[in-house]
This record gives sequence, structure tokens and C-alpha cells, in this order.
Amino acid sequence: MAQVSGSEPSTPGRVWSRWAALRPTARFRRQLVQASIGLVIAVAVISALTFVFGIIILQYAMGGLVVSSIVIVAAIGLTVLYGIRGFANFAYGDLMTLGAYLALMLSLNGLSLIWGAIVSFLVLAIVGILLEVVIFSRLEGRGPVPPIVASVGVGLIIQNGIRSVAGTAEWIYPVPATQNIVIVPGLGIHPVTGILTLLVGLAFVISAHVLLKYTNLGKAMRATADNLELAKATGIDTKRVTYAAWVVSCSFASTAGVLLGLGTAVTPTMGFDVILLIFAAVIVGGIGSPYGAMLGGLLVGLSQEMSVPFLVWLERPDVIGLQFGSAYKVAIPFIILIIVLIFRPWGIAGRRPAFARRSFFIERITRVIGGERGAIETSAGEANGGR
Amino acid sequence: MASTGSGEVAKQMAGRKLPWSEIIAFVAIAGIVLAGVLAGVLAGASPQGILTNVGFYASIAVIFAVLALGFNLQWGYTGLFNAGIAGFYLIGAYTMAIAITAPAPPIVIGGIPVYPGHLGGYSLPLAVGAILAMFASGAAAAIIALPALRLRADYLAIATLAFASILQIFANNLQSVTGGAIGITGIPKPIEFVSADAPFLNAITIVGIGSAILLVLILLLQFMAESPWGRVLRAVREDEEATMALGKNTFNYKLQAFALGGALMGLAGALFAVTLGYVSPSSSFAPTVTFSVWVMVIVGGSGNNRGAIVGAFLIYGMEWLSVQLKDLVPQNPLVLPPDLQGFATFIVLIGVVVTLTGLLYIVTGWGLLKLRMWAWWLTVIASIVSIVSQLTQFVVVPAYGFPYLIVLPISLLVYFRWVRPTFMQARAVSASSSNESLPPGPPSFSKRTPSMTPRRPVGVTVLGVLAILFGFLAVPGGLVVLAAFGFIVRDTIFYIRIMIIGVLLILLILHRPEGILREKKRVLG
Repeated sequence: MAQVSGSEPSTPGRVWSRWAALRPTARFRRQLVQASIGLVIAVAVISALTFVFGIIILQYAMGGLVVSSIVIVAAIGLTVLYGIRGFANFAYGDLMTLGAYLALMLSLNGLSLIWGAIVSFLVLAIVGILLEVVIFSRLEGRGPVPPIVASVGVGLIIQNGIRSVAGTAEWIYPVPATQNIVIVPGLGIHPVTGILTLLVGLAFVISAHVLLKYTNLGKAMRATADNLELAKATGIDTKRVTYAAWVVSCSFASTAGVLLGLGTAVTPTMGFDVILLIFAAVIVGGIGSPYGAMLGGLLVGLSQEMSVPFLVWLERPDVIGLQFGSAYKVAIPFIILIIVLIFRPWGIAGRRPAFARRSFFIERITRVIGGERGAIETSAGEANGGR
Repeated sequence: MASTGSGEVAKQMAGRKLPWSEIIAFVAIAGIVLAGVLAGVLAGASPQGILTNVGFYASIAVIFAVLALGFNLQWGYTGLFNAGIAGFYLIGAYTMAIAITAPAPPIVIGGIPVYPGHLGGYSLPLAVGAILAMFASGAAAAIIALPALRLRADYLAIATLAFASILQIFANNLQSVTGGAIGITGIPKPIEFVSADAPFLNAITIVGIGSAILLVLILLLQFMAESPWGRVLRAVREDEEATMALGKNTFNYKLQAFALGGALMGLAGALFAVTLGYVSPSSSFAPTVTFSVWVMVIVGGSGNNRGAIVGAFLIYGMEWLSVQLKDLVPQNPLVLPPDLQGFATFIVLIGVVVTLTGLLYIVTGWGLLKLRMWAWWLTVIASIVSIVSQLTQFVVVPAYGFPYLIVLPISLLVYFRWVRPTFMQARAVSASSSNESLPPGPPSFSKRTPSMTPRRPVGVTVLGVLAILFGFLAVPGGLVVLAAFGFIVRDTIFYIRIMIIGVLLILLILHRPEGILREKKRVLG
């Protein structure tokens, strides 16, 4: 969680209002400028692409937005846990699958899908707390690798448990089959898999924002993610914050799983197949920063879907004659991930850690491009789990 | 607390003669092979066929051992966590296949492309192909490590996992190079036999070559690990900053270790291509391979070459056994009277509980009291799951939960009436005694004080071995019976195997991060 709003000095006599977080700090203003520049560039790129490829690119952009909203919900959950507990939860995709199957099970038994999703939201929250109590609390302070191994174990158990109980067949949620709503000829959106997903994604983003900015728990979570020792010393109950992080993470996973199942089908590997996309979003945005995860999710989802026309263009024999070009769209987020790992490993919205070592070559390139230099701050990930 | 305790424990260990952990490991491997042979006999295979099958087990286990050695060099010695083992394995296999096969033009029958062809067809000698495979994998490892090695271990894990999955996409879709979904076939064997028992002779040859390579590798790796170079690697693992302060360029050492480990994985891929005679982007290079190799190294103890090999034979043995068992299951389910269905499920569950308690004992060294707690909890959880799945009718194949309507209250009653009070009493006693005898020291890593884990009596260890052996008979047998009568899908045997790998990962990393072949450490890191 990169943005800690209280950077102004607190004078003793002053009463802090509840909405103090809204006061624009210098940092916030800088981010606002950056965001608007990014938005202008994005709009320019999309209009240029529309000019080149025609209206079809807007259809792909719409699909990208839908994918992004799923990825963003998942990435917020993953990054909150990453920031506070300091490890990469490889079981996250399988937790999504578990949420999707719980909702499916309830909806097959006569409940409506919405109630199924709500119940699976609550059940996954309990599962998260159980995971922390039974397994992950015992691995605290042993560096980043043992929790990764344990989380892979959890993922294997969930995935294959689902396979042996529910079989490997594809399941479809019982939603009414409707036609796409046509906005402009050649540009349509499905009311359930499109609009509903977008709305739910937006609702989760807003609720995450409210939780993190305007509640005491959210403040405590951001403080814990920023510096665990300092948060403990301040008197924050970090145990409680950890449980809250698990609840947020796993319940977001359940909803992301249901949304993912709405878009395609419910299969035992649906979550594991997208886990790397979510990791890409989290790392691109900066580990532990929910706002970065939103940005990263948008970038990853849009670039994956909007690369399709380009890859289809590569398929033409007079270009390079690539076979199955659109199958490579899954690789685009990883290319972004690798680029970010080389140039800005702390993420595009994260803060540069104090002891980040860079090679001379990369140092020169970033200096030429104009990256910020020498901010003596510690990133969330370094402070929590690193040596 | 830690220092005095470990001194006493060291004295106790010195008095012990027999390496029980290793004996158990070898008993388990023997049990796997025996169970597989038994399955073959029951399926009515010829003696030579059974031997060929065992040879296949040995040759693939050797390949996994090479993979585990590579991962051990990366993680065990240097502390670099690689989550993309399957990717380097794939590079090695495809490089070998492209280098040594004969040219294969695309096949088109009636205008429909049947086979897209693949790159290469250079018909190079096997040794050259293997060296090329090692080189390609090592280079790929170095390239992927360059950006990721400067960062924390989890970045490296994510980057390598992403790399492996990209490679699988490419292997599937880049048809002109890899042959697409069909892959590359017709990879020559080391020696071409023409007689009737060619499969048997082939298996023997492959096992011989693999064992020779393994022997050379383990000698070489042992030598390297004890050389100054290996010492620096271990120093990097323990404390990178201190190693840097001593004037070592740790980045170079990490890069070398990672590339060498990748090259070993490439060698394993080359062996795999020759052993099977074909490569395809199927489950052979799925992420499950990576996770299996993790378990192998953790079982043997990271940083322990011998342990990695034993772990490979043990964990691959489970996979091999599950294939044998699946073959034993008839295609058409037999019919069993409904009264017996619930009973059969119950028997299997008892077998699972007993095996798990035995495994738990071996892995964690928990006393019998705690074992009983676990057994009861497992029964309770299994009952609840069965009842819920019975009530919701969600499962594809019914789970017959009604017997558990009786089992659940009884087990809960027994647990709360007898087991839990006894355990609480014992814990209170041990806590008070440890408070008296020991001053409060630094918090130990495993939260286990020496007084709570008494020395393992020989008789109980024998009981644990018996429990595991029983598990080798009861669980697979029960699963086969269940599958034969159509209660579970045949593939469930595979899924249960992978679930066991998951359970092992969690249990080992929680309680025996130093592996089961080593003596327990009181304080780590």
C-alpha cells in the first residue's frame, strides 16, 4: 500500500477530521497529473487504433475492460494479502475456483446465483481465516519461500479435491441466455457477462477504496503493510489486521471466481489458468499497493485483449504467417511483467525501495527516460518478508 | 533453551545406531515397487512385462532424480527458488528431439494437414544432442534469471512460473518448430533392438545409461558442493549481505548456480525424450512436474543430493503406482449390493486415516496422543464432508454419506469425552515441567520445546512403518475396489495422488523443512 496520506505533520492541538484523507497532498496531486496524462495517452492510442483497425478494436477494448474488472477484483485481494503477510499466495487461483464451485453448488440446489455468490463470499472468508490459523501463521518469519510452497500445497489440494468430488466436466452457471445489447453496429455488450461484471468490479473497487481510506481497519492495514514493526510499536493489533487481510483477500477471490465463471465456464483449472495474469497485474502495479493493482489490472487486461487484432494481423502470410496467432495473447501480460521486472521491479505505482540495486546499464537507461531517483523509502514487500 | 537443548539432543542422537528415517524411506520405495508388481500380477501381465514396467519406473525416476538434483543446486545450495522447472525440462526435451531425429516433412492427406512437421531433423549423435539440450536450458535459465535474480525470491518464482507457462503455449502453437499438439515422434533409441523382447532390452539400456549419468552427476555435484565454489553458494544462501561484504560477487555466483541447475534440468529433458521416444506439450511438462520436484527435494532435505535422489524415487513411485492401479480397474464398473457400498467407503476412509496418522507421525514426530486427536478430527471432517455432499446431491458420483450420520456423533462424543481431556492434561503437565526445568529463552522456531518431543522409541517407529505399509495396501486397494465398483471415477486415483503431494508439501514445510532423511533441527536459520 503505497499511499499513506498522513504525510503532513500533525500538530498537537489540531483535531483531525474524518475526511482528512481527502485533502490533496503533494503526492496525490502528482499522481492525479500522472493519471490524467496516462488517460489522455490511452484515449489517443485507442482512437488511433480505431482509425487503423476499425470499430472492431472497440469491441476488443470492451472485452479487455471486462477481463480487467475481473483481474482487478482478484488483484486487489492478492495484493492486500501480499502486502500484509509478505508472501505470494500461489493458491489464490484455486481459491477463486473454490468460490466459483461453491456458488455453483448452491445455485444447482435451487438458490439463485446471487445468493450463491454471497454465501460463497462468506464461506471463503472463513476458509481464509482457517488457512491463516492452521498453516500460514506458523510460517511467519521464515522468509518468502516456505509460505509459497505451502500455498502451492493448498492449491493442489483444493484443485484436485474439486476434481475428485465434482469431476472434470465444464459447468455453466444457470443465467438467462440473452443477446448482446448493440450500442453501435459492430459494438455490443452482453448484459450479464459484460455489464454486470463491469458493475460488480466497479463496486468492489469502490468498496476497497472506502475500506482502505475511510475506516480505522483500513488505516491499520495500510500501516501494517507499510512497516510491520512500526505498526506493532504504534499499538496496532497486527494479528487482527492479518485476519482482516485474509478475509478481504479470500472473499474477493470468491467473487472474482464467480465473475470468471460467468464469463466462460466453471472448470477445476479456471483459477490456476489466470493466476499468472493476476500476478502480472500485482507486480506491474507494485506489490502491496491496491491502487497499483487496479492500474496494473487495467493495463494487463486491456493489453491482453487488444493485442488480438495485432496477432491476427501477424497471422497473414505476407507478414510472418504466425499460426494460431491469437493463442499468444496470454503471453502479452508476461512480456509486460518482464519489462516491469527489468526497469521498475517495485511496480509502476509502487515506491522505490532504499536498497534497490540496479545494473549500470539499467541505471543509465532509466536516468535518460527520467525515472525518479533516490527516494529513500522502503517498499512494503521489502519491509515485511525480506531480510 | 535452544543451545542447551540442542546439545542434549545431539548427545542422544550420537547414541542412536540405526538411521531410521532412511530405513523407512527405503521400505517405502520397496513397498511401492512391490505394490506395483502385485498390481501387474493381478492384471495378468507376463513376468517380462512386469520387469519392463519396473524398468520404466526406474528410468523415469532417474530423470526426476536429475531434475531434483538441478533444483537442489538452485534452491538447496544457493537459495534460489525456481517455479519453472517444467519450462527448462521442456526446453531440454525439445532441443534433444529436434537435434537427433531424422527430418520430418509436413504430412497433408487430402488437403487436410495431418502433421505440420517440425524444425530440424539433424540426426545428430545422442551425446551431441544432450549437450545442446543442456546448453539451451542453461542459457534460458541465465536469461530469465538476469532480471529476476536481483530481486526477492518470490519475484524469481513468479517470473520462472510465467516463463514455463509461456513455453508451454509456444510448444502447443508454434507448429513449424515443435510439431504442435502432436509433438515430435520417432526419436531414436540409444541402441535399436529388433528382437521380440525389444521393449525389455530398451528399458534395460535406458536404465543403465540413466544410472551411469546419475552416478557421475552425484559424484560431481558432491565434489562441487564441497569445493570453495560450493561453500560460497551456501554462504549466499545463509546470508547474502555478509558474503558480499567478504568481497564475493554474489550475483555472479547466483547466476552460475541457476544456469547450472537449468542445464541439469535440460539434461533430464534430453533423457526424457530418449526414454519415451516422443515429446508432446502434454502433461509431461505441466506445472505439476514442478511441484512434484519441489516435494522430492523437500522430502530428501534441501541441500542434500542423496536425499533428492531418494525423494525422486519415492514421489515418482507414487505416480507410477497410481498408473498401475488405474490399469487394474476394469472399464465397466461391477455391480455391488447397495448395503455394501457405504461399508466399502468407510473401509477406505479408515485406511486413509490410519495411513495419514502414520505419515504424520513419521513427518512430525508427534506423540501418539496428538495422533489420536488428528485421527479423530479427520474422521469428523470426513463425516461432515460426506454428509454434506450426500445431502446436496452435488457430486457426480454419490458419496454414500449415511453411515457417517452414525459415525459423526460417536466420534465427536469420544473426542470431547476422552481424547481432548487427556491431551490437555498431558500438555499441562509437560508445560509445567518445562517451565520448571528451563529458563525462558529466545522463542524457538518450531514452538516445540525439547521436553515435549521425547526421543522416538523404536517400537513406535516400527508401528509407524507398519502403518505406512498398511497404507500401501489399504488405500490403493480400497481405491481400486471403489473404482472397480463405479463409486469413484477411475481418474480419482490420480487426483488423490496429487492431493497427497499437496499434503506432503504443507506438512513437510511446516514440520520438517530439513527433510525426513535428516535429524530434526531444533532451531532453523
